Order: sequence, then C-alpha cells, then structure tokens
Amino acid sequence: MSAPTLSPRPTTTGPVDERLLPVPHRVVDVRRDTADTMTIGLEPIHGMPPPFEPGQVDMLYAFGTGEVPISISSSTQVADRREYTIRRVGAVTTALTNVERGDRIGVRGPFGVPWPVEAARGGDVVVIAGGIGLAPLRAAILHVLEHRQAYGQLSLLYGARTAGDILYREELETWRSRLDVDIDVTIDAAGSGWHGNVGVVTRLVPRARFDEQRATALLCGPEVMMRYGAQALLDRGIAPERIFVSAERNMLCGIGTCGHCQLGPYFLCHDGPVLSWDRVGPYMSVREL
Amino acid sequence: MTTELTRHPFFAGLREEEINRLAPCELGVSYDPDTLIFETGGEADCCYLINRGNVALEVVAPAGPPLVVETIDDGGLLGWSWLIPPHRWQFDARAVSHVEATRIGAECLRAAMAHDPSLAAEVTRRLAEVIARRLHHTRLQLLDLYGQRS
Repeated sequence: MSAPTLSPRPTTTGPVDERLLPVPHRVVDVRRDTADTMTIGLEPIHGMPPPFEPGQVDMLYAFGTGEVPISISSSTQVADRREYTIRRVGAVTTALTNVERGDRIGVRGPFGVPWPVEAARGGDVVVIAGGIGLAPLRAAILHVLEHRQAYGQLSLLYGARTAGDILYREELETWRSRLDVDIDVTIDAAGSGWHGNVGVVTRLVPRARFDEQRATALLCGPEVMMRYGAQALLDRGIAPERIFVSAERNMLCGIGTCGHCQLGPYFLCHDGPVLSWDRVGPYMSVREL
Repeated sequence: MTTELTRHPFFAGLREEEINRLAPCELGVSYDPDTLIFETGGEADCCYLINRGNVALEVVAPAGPPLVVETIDDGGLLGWSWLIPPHRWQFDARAVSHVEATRIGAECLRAAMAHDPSLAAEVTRRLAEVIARRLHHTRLQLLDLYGQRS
C-alpha cells in the first residue's frame, strides 16, 4: 500500500491546550431510542457551543466516571444545542445514559474530519448504516435534507439487529414519507409481526437507486459490516475514493497526540474518523490492527 | 420468445432455445399477503421467480410465533430444494406483501435440464450463485454484528 499523506499533528509542548479542557454543559433533553440506547440534548452552561460539521465527534465527560467519544447526531443548523445518541456498553456510557434533565456533563470538541457533504453536492448520496452507526450519519442525512436541491438521489440503507433495535424509528418513517428519499431497512432477526426485509444490510446495495458514476457513499456501523458494505459498493461500480467510512478506535485525547485511536498511519481523532475507502480500506483488513 | 422468464434476472441472458425449452414449465401465480406459499417438509415440486412483492422464509419456533430467517424480494429466486433430493422444503414461505411470481415446475425443469446439458450447467451455475450469496449473507447474520458496537 502507498504511503498516505497526513496533515501535521500538533505538538505537546507549550501551555495546556484548551481543547483538552471539558466545558460544562447541561442536559436539556433525554429520549429513549431503544432498550439500551438514549439520545441526550446538551447546551453549554455559558455561551454557545462552537460550530461543527456532520460526522465530527465530541468527547463527553461523565464527571467522576470518565470520558468517551460520541458523534454529534443533531443538525448543524441548530446552533445552541447538540444531540448525542449513546448506547450503554460500559461504565461511562452507562453513566451518560442514566442522566436526567438538568444534570451536568463535560464536553470537548468538536474533533475530527467530517463527512464530505460539501464535496458530495451535485451527485447522489447513498448512506449505509448498521445498528447505532446511524447516529454518526444522522447529521449528514439532515444536512442533505436541509439542502435537498443541492443533491441528487438520497438513498438510506439501514440494518439493525431486530425491529426493536431500529434507531430513530419515527424519524425514519417521516423521512420515508418524503418523495425524494429512498429508505430501505432490514433486520437480522424477526418474528412474524415484522413486514419488512430480513437479512444483512449489504444485500440492499444492488437494488438501491443511485448513479454509481456520480454517487458519494457514507458508511457507518460495525467494521465488518463496513468492509462488506464497501465491497458491495465497489461491486456496483463506485470508486473507492468516493466511499467514506467512519472508522472508530478508542479515542482519548481528541487532538491527535496520544495515539490511542491509531489505525495504521492514522490517528482517527485527527485524521478521521471519516476516511475514504482507498485510504483506510487496506488497514481495515489487517489482523489485530 | 418473450416470457416472464426472460424478464427475471435469474434467467436473463439465456439463449432463445433454452428459454423455449423452459417456457412450458412456467406458470404465473399471485399470492395475497400472509398466504403460506409452501410449508416445511412439503414436496419441493417447483421454484418461484419473484416478480413483485416479497416473501418471508420462516421457521416454526416453540411456544411463539414463527421466526423469519430471511426475506426474498422482487428479482429473487424462491426455492432450491427442487434440485436436491429428497426434494422437501426446508422452511415455510409466506407472502409478506402481495406477491406476483413465476412458478417453474420442478419435474418439467429437471426434464429440460436432463435433455440439454448446456442448459443444466447454466441453471446450476446460476443457482450456485444464489446459494453462495445467501450463504454469505447468512454468515454475516450469524456474526450478530450490531450487538458488538459501542
């Protein structure tokens, strides 16, 4: 594989980088999405949050417990608050999903490279999401919907474990009712009450409506799913440099210095999390990387 | 010759004489939603080319409603047990929505394949593609990918 081009990383000398200091925020909204997933809305206690771009990540600090990277899932058009969809998997995410309105959470960010929603203008956009991977894509989907005339076809292919694990269900139904969005949902396991697709999300790719020559693909979900999803898109004829994935590792500093989130030559908090398939694909198949 | 067979991806691109050989085997069928198309253990005497709608492959579960293993959509092939002895269905198939399909009689299809080795090889190759794709998808489902992501 060829040597990647990387932007300079910050040095660790000098005074404390303000980006390492959590800014206190107040919980202003709490919504249960699924049995183990919540969406919380946060507003800074003082001032306004800095602007962000779809796909960027904030570090959320549950005081006394720890800090985790969570993608911002709200619209970039909402200036005064941000939303984060969090799945309960460990101590910090459990603390973050137990919050109530009025609780305080520390926030650092935004960090990382966003989805290429500006570069995608003028063409079709195909979004492939798996499980909670829909959350980091929500801001990009909202961006396309808010600037609908600037894009061609919008296709969302979403896979979840069961019908009860489908994220943003009401919002998906709202989007589906629009005439200018194609949404295909599939689940891995279903009872007889489910009248939709059953099977893996990659099987939706061959029938999705988009022009391979002018489409940009955005993928987020489990890494194995993204690998096979990217392959299905390559099989459809989309060039690897127009396929983008949100690659995630264990982010810690958020500013590209500590190396916790390293994937091959990339520090994902700084060089990612969004990377094109021609850059990151080769590293996603390396064992134990 | 233009038949439903030539319009379905499974048989697309076959030579005219091959389509002519298969044409007597086809029968247009339709099913209302929730209709049981075939049942586990029943004689697999045909396959279906789904032209519209989707079909759920189900397995009966104890003390509960059936579990859906996979859905097959328009453009898909439903049923390959007709090729492999003992020619018994391995799952139930139920129409999820209104389904329009082309039913291909197994005895007729097997006879056509026995008469024309080239056709037999091509149908078997296409069937193997379908089976390989379903196996690939099933393996991914078995990984339970969405349960692992933080």
